[in-house]
Amino acid sequence: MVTAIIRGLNLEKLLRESQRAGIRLQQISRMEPRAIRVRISPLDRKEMEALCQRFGWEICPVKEGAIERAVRFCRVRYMLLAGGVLCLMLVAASTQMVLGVRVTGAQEYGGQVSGYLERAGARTGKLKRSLSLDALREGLLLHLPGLSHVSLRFSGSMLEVECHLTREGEQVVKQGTGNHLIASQDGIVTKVAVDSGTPLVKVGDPVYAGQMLVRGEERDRQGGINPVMAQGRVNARVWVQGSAKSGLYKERVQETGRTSRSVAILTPWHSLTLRQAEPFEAQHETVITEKVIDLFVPLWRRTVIYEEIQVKRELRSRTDAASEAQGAAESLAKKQLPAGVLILDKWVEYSMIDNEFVCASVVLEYEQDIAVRSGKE
Amino acid sequence: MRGRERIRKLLQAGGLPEDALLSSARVTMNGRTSVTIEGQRGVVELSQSQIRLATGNGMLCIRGCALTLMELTPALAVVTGEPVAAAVYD
Repeated sequence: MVTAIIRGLNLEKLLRESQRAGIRLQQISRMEPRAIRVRISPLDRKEMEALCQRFGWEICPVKEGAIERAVRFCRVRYMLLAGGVLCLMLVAASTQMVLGVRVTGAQEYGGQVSGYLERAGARTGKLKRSLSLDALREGLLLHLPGLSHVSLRFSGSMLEVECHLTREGEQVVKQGTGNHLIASQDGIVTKVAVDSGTPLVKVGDPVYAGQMLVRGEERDRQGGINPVMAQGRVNARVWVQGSAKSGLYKERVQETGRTSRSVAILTPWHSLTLRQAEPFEAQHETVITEKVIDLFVPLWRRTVIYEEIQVKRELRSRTDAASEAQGAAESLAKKQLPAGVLILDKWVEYSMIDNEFVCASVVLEYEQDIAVRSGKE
Repeated sequence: MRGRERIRKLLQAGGLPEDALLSSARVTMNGRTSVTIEGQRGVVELSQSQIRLATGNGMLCIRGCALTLMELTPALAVVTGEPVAAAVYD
């Protein structure tokens, strides 16, 4: 709608003429004896201007300011304004409340932290000013010794609880309490890197499983011996072995061509043999079962065909047998390797057993850290 | 006018709506701030203290304070403000 001021004489005639022309006018008010203020639809504006021009009235569109438009809008849609104010009030009220509690870093203490906060009143819907963060922090540290530090803060309407767990420190050691490093398996030392303690082996020394590698003692400047927890790495070349055997003779099955068959009639309760065949020394069996009658009492006919076979042993190549045995032995040895290790060397030994089997033994060599704490193998 | 008067009496006796059959104006007052006039035939006088409208029955005059023609269409006129009195003159 457009607001306009119309000036002239006999403005009531203007209203009548506009009414006859079908122009809809709103908020008509008298400003001065020769001026009225009206609101016209933009669609009727040109028609109204033409009408004014024809009868000599002066029409001046009024540009409303933003405040006037806003005031007019609020007067018309006052419920919208009221709804907006109510929403703002609700938002303002909600910012003063705790709408959620988020606990981070508590790990296994998460349930206990949440339970304590719930009992202390730190939950959804509580007013922020009714919660004392310092008191909550002190309460959490007092009730949960597993927490070393707790940080509480409000992030918007969310209560953020950041927990830090305590860390287990190094234990104080006493002399003779077994804080040495020993070898977990046999090997030849290739590298010694000791952080604390006294190394007992050097590069190139052969060691056996259980042998002490680093003693948990250190000598001070005065010559005294102080107990320490031995720490470090001792790398050594170690081995794994796998063995397998493979036969020299290969059995081959050959059919001779002789066959025989036996036939039997079967019922759900009994069986009647019509023909019985003589079994062979070595044979293949093929069983064929056919349903003969399928009425009140079903009948099946079972035919068994025997085919005589001959098993021949053939000597195969020794190289093939040895290769097969080596492959199997190597596969077994590799299964014992830890993941990710690099095989440094491999050797294979062959032997014959009773002239029938070839036995292969594969040894794989690799390097790894063999130092473990005594008591832990 | 006499014929019109007779017709009006007949309609009243028959209980028929006068405004629909005689093109009379219908004036409705909503509370104390708004007067709706249907069937008016044009504005005769417009001021903040008095608004006069032509109707089929005569001249409708509405007096009051801060009177405004809130809406004016060929069929409807709505007067708002503080109307004090309304009268029909011949």
